[in-house]
Amino acid sequence: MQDRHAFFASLVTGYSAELYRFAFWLCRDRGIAEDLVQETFARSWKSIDQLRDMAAAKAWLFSTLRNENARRFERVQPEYDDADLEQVAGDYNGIDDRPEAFALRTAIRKLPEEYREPLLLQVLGGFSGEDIAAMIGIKANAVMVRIHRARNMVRRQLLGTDDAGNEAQQ
Amino acid sequence: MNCEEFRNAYAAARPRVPAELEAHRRWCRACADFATHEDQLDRQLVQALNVEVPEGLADRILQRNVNARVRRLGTWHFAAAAALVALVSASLMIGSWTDRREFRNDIVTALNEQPLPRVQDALLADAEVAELLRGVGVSYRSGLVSVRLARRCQVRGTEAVYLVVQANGTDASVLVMPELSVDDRVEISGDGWQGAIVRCPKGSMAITGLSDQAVASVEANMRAATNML
Repeated sequence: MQDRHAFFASLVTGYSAELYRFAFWLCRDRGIAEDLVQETFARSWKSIDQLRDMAAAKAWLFSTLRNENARRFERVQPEYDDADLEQVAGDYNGIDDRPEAFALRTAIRKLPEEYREPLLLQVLGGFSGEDIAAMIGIKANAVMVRIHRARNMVRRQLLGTDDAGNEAQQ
Repeated sequence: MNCEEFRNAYAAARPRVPAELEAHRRWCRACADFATHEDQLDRQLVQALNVEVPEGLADRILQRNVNARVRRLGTWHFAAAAALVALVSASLMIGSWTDRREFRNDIVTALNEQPLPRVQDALLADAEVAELLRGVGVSYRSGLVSVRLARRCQVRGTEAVYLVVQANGTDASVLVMPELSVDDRVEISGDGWQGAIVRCPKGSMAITGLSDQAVASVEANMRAATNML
């Protein structure tokens, strides 16, 4: 029994910060991000006996959080405003406010969802293409292509030479 | 593997870059430059997306877990369960409460006390490195890191392993500290060297090298090579 508690605590201490950052960039709201992380760990406790390996547990947690976020859209349809939220939201206090960081975040925000999510999983979660493929249920090659294109799109956006939609349509 | 294949694969393969890609990177200057730009983009993305984590998040998650279980078990379990979680989290989250500066100074001191490899030192066999890491409870996957020197040491009274590994043609130092936790990444630097103490689910690692690129490369490889993801 103690072992389960210790393992759960190690998951929380090891991954809550990474999960929070991933959640935040999925929903861009601090309150919702914390709720998503809380709910993800609540689910992980129920499945703790199946999560005996840290690396596998990490993928499970990110995958669960992703599903929790998707479930949010099933319950309500949040109104999307494509305005530059960084200009108005206090949620962005304390993050890197240099122009190049702002430009990167803008570039990521403009990515189509199917490109943004694998890139966030790679950059924030440290997952390989194969891990991500297993998490989002598509082939590894497709993930590789999406990540490759996402990075190109970000780079082009930074250089001001393209918009995100063009490569996505290819 | 040709250069086009390398470039298509490298960006998407990160952070666990297969040995085949690393090999291509070592001998192809143009692809090495490409990979350096990719690494740089990674670092920029991580920094740009590094939103502050709410203080006490982990504590609140643990507490909620206690509360949920207490509701199921009945109130008489509350004191014992809360004490248990407090005890577990206290032992696992020392880093959260440790003074960050003091911790950083101790790590730098520990690194400074370690020997440097001699020029004539050859690469160590993977089995030797694996055995040493196994001694501190860390498993090791061979073929991902080139180690020139490895020794057991103590950091803050805990067992650790000091490694000197090759990265991008230079040496980088690594302290594997499975019993010491930090709550987040701590950057460290000195005269002519860069480094970081990085959080791992199982303790932490300190990595120093001559450049950010070397440190990032070693970090990625060490995470892939050990069970300290």
